[in-house]
Amino acid sequence: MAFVEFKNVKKTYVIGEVQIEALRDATFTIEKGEICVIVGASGAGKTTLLNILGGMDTLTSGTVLLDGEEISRLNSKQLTTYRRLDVGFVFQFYNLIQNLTALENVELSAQICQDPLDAETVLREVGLGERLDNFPAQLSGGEQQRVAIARALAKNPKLLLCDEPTGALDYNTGKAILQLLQDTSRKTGMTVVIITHNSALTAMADRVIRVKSGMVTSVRCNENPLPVSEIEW
Amino acid sequence: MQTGLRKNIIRSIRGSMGRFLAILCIIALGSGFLAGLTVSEDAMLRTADRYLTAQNFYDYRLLSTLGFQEEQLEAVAAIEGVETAEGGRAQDIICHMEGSSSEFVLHTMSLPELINLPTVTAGRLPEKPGECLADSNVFSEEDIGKVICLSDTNDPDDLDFFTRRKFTIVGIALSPLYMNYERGATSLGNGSIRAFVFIPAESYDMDFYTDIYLTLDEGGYLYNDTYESAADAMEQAVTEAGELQADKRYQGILADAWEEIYDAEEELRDGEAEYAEEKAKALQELQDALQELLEAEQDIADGAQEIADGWIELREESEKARQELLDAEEELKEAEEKLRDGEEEYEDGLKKLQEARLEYEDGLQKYNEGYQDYLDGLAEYEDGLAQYEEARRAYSSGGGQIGDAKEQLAAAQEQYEQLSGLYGAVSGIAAGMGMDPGTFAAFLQGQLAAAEAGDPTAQGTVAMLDASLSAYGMSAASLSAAWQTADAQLRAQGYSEGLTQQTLSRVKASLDEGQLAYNQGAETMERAWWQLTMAKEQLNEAKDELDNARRELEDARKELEEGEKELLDGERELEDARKELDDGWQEYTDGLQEVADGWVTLEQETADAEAELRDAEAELADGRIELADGWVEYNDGTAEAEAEFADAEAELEDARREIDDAKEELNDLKKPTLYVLRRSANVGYVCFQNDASIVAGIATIFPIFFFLVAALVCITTMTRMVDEQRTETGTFKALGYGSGAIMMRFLIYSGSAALIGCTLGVWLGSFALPAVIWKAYSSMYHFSEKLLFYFDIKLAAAIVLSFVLCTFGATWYACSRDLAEAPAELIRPRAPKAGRRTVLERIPFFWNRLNFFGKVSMRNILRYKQRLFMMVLGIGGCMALLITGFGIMDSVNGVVDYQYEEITLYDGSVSFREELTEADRAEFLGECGDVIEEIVFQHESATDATADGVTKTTTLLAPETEDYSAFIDLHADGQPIPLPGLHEAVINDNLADTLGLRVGDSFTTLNSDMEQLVLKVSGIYENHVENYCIIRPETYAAQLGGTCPIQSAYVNFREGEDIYTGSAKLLSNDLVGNVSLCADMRDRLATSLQSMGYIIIAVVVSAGALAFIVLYNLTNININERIREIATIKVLGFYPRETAWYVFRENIVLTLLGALAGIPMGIGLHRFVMYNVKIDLMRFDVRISLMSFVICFVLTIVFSLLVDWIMLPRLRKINMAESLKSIE
Repeated sequence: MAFVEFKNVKKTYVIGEVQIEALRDATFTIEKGEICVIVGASGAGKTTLLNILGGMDTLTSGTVLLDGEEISRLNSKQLTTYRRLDVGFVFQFYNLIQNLTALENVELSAQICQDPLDAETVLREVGLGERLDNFPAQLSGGEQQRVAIARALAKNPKLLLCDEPTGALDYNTGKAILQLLQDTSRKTGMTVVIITHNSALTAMADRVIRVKSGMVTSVRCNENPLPVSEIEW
Repeated sequence: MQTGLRKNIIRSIRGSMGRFLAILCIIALGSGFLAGLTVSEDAMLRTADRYLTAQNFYDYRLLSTLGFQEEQLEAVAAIEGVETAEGGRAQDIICHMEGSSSEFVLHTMSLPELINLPTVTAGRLPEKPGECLADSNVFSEEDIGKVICLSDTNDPDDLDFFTRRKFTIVGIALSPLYMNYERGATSLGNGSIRAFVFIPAESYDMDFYTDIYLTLDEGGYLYNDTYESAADAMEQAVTEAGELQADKRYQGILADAWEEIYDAEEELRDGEAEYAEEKAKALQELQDALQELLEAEQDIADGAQEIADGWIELREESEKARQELLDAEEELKEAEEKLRDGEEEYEDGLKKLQEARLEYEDGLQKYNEGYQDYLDGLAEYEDGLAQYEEARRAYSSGGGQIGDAKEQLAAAQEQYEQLSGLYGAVSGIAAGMGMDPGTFAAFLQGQLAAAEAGDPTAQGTVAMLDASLSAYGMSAASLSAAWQTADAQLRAQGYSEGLTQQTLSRVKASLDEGQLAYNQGAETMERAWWQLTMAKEQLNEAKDELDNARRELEDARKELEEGEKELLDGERELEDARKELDDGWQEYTDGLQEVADGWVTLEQETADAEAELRDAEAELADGRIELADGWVEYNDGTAEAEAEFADAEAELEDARREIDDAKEELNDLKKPTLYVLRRSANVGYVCFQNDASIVAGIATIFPIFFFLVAALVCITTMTRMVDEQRTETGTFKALGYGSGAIMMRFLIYSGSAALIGCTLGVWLGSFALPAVIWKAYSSMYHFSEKLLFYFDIKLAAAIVLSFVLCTFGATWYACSRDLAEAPAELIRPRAPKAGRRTVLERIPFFWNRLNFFGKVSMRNILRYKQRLFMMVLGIGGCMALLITGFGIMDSVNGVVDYQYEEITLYDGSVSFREELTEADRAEFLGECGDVIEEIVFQHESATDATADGVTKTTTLLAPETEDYSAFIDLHADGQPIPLPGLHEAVINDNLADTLGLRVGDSFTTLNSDMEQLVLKVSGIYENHVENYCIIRPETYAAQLGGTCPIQSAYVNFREGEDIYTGSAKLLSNDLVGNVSLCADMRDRLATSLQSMGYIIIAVVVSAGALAFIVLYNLTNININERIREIATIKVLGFYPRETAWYVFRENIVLTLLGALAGIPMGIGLHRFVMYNVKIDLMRFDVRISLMSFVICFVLTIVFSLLVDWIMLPRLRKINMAESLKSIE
């Protein structure tokens, strides 16, 4: 059985009297340990997909399963618990708490988990061993994103969700971050879902899901995903 | 302005209504307090000014020890600059209410018509002497109609000033002379005036005015400098004129007095002449009296004789009357006997009558029975008769039948005989012919028929036959016919064989039979006839019997009727007898009554006559005594006349001496002292000024506080707003809008909030706050229910302007920073404020103990300094206001409890009507000792204590005791203060403060008799209500000579004794003038202090509002600034509760900090307020109870939690998707 499974997922936003179908019959699966890249243009429904998968939003109809658990049936409190324990988020703009040091930011999320990893170890693993006590404002964008990844990893989640992780970063830094994600996945068997509009990233994925106008247009498995260092864009 | 920009402004206001309203409210609150408290003093002064102007309050008051007269009043009125002058009379007098013995002192004044007009609050003005207008402070509408009596205990000279002793209250009034509750001191009674009353001028018997009140042309607004200087300008003129007039009055009195002396001398001369005349007259009178006495003696002798005669006559007449009555009684007795006989007879008659009636009834009964029998007999008889008739009828018919039968029988006999004759005949012929009859007949017939037919044989036969038959007289034809007929007849009768022998024997047999039957029937008929005859006889007998019975019954009936008539007659007779008897009885009873009456009358008359005689005797005796007295009197008169002559001579001598004394006294008469008093000498007027300035004092610090908070809230809010709209500002700038236009957006936003808030606040505050304060002061000042509201337009403008400028300044400050930046930078979001290590982290001991969120909160708190400052100030302010409010309550409440539980320990204070002697004390204790546990006699009087030119009215106490602690516990700081020594005094702390005295300092006291004491302070004790100066009686005696007058006492009632019954018992004592109970005073004080409650409520409410607005605003900003952070936290999986804690933990920490900071602020503010509201005669304990601190702290936290609670939905609504957005 697939680790993540979307079955006929439909999401309709009602804004005033207008109904907007953000997702139509999205159906796909992601296997455990895979790096999955969901790619599509702006407004294609990527973010809606992410919101639903991340437990930040509910769906109109359909089923979403993660590791056998039917997320689409959870209530708001259960969703909070789901976000808390099962999902790690990496945001485009890092979303670090400005008032906390790198270490504290990681601890912030680790503190609310049942089985967290050691914050300091995780930070060292993402290459920030020297910058534990720096505040976000004292870190570069890439370093901030590493902190964000560390924050997500420290929770020891079932799934790592990354929303345009390189969107705010320059090319090299972006690559480094992607490398980190790929390494993490390969090393720990973490399932990583990356959402991006950059088709170039598909090369590094085990699975590529293309989204367009709220529809999943193709699901393709990469037999030979490339290491990030070999990808160019 | 460009439409786009305008729309933008309107939308930004609408979009952030909460923030806009927050600014508006805090500004309204701040400006409202500022305006309200600032105008309060003015409103109070204006109210007082309106009142005093309306009542024409005086500007100058002249008092002279000799008083003034009309001409002096006119002269003073004529001073240039004096508008009006009015003379008034006033006198303190001890009074009591009719029906009550409790005495008190009233200050009476003549009812003014021009100056110091009273305001009637109920009832009407007095119109005639004997009516009065009473003080509304003590009297109320219910007292109208009650009567105030001037007590007999007054000095007669004082009473002589009045034409009346009783005054009916017709109205209740306020007087501008007494604006507050104080009524002043007096030398009478217990030294304090209870109330004032106005009485019509005619109620005074004074030929002078005690004081003159003046108003000046140059009036002015009260208390201000213009007024004071205008009044100053007149002082000299008024004083000079006053002194001149006082001197004139003095001269006038001198002149009058000399005139009086001359008159007296004249009178003396007249007296001497009169004396001579009177003496002669008196001697003549004595002579006349002697003559009269002699005549009286003769009169008495005559009277005695008359009385003796009277007695004799009385005896005779009464004897006669008695005899007559006895006779009458005898007669009555006889009558009674007769009546009784009659009664007996009557009874007999009655009995007989009854018997007769019984008999009659029996007879009647019997008669009725007989009559019935008769009727029965009659019926029977009639039945018999009927039967008889019937039998008779039957008999008659039987008779007929018999007759018929006889006839028939005879007929049948005859027939038979004919037949047998015929037959014989025939048979004879036949036999002759050898034939039987029958055949013969038939042969004959045939012969005949053939004869007829002409047969000659036949004829021959017939003829032979005829011839044979002629012997029998017959022919053959007739014989045949007869045969035929007989045959037919027999055949018809049933004899079928016809005429035969046989038949004839049968006929003969039936004829015999019939004869037998007839004989039997005839026998029967005969028997019946006999029977009938018998019956007829019986019936006739019965009839006779019945007739007899009938006759008898009729007789009986007649008899009965007669009997009945007799009975009725008997009854009528008896009735008559009864009536006669009754009349007889009535007559008898009447007779008895008459006799009884006769006796009574006799006795009465005899007694009357005797009494008359006795009276006459008594009179006579009196006359004798009188005569004796007359003799004595005469003798005395003679002696008296002589003595009087001597007295008169002595009196004349005295008069001569008195005239000489008067002359001497006049020569010694002192010039009068004149007092020229200004308004500042009026206690109420001065106190009101003080109280109004207390309000002004409070008005300075509270509003500044609110103003500061308001300004800070504005600044933070606007800074925040400008920050929020940074990108927009950049966009506008990039679009080419000038800095001015951009700034205008913010200025209009904040300016309009300030303008609206301020206008609203100033307007509301200017009315609401003075009203609350006025209400609080209304326990002391009753003169106007309604405050004259005053809207100070200049002040309002200044407040509005300053607030608007303040917000403009804040806005400008916030904007100018942004506007200085290049548009390019502005468009980009400002980098979030960097996290920094805080000072606290350098203290590992503290920092390491914080949990994770604690650290975040700490960093956040310290990151936004402005907000921290605001929050602490706002919450601190709230706390401070609450502490002040509760503190005022503590201090005020504490005073009453402390005063009456720890200082003033006696139950009641007794004022005696006059100075007590040792005997009086013993008498008092003897009568009232059973309710008193402890008592201390003392001197008590009102006195003015003076030190360094400051004077204060004080109660002087000189207790005759070495241990005062059961009555007043003298202590300070928990240490007892010993009683003073000789020439020393213990005074209370308030007095010491006012006069600036310390232990060891000296001061003087001056009482209303101008007696002065010089005292050294030996101790200062804690006391909160009124001022006291305690000395030893010895000090008084030593400094003023004589003994210390004791006219007061403090008492403690016995355990279990009700203080009111105790006090009533004391009051019932003749020596006691008044008893006042501490419990009553305590109640009165507590009630008046309740007005403070309004101020406290106002403070608590405004504190709550302040805390709420500040917290709401800051929390709002806090959340807005951190939406992204909160969204991220939510995405990370924080539960709502955790999220709320994450945000509000800061609020709570800041609230705690603020509350802590508020404690010292509150203590300071409370002290300031208490210092300012120190009321005369009251000293408040400046203290706040621990409980109050706790309550204030909890309330502050509750306010804060309430705001957090209200903000909770805002947190819930934050969308997690916000976290994904780019930084704006």
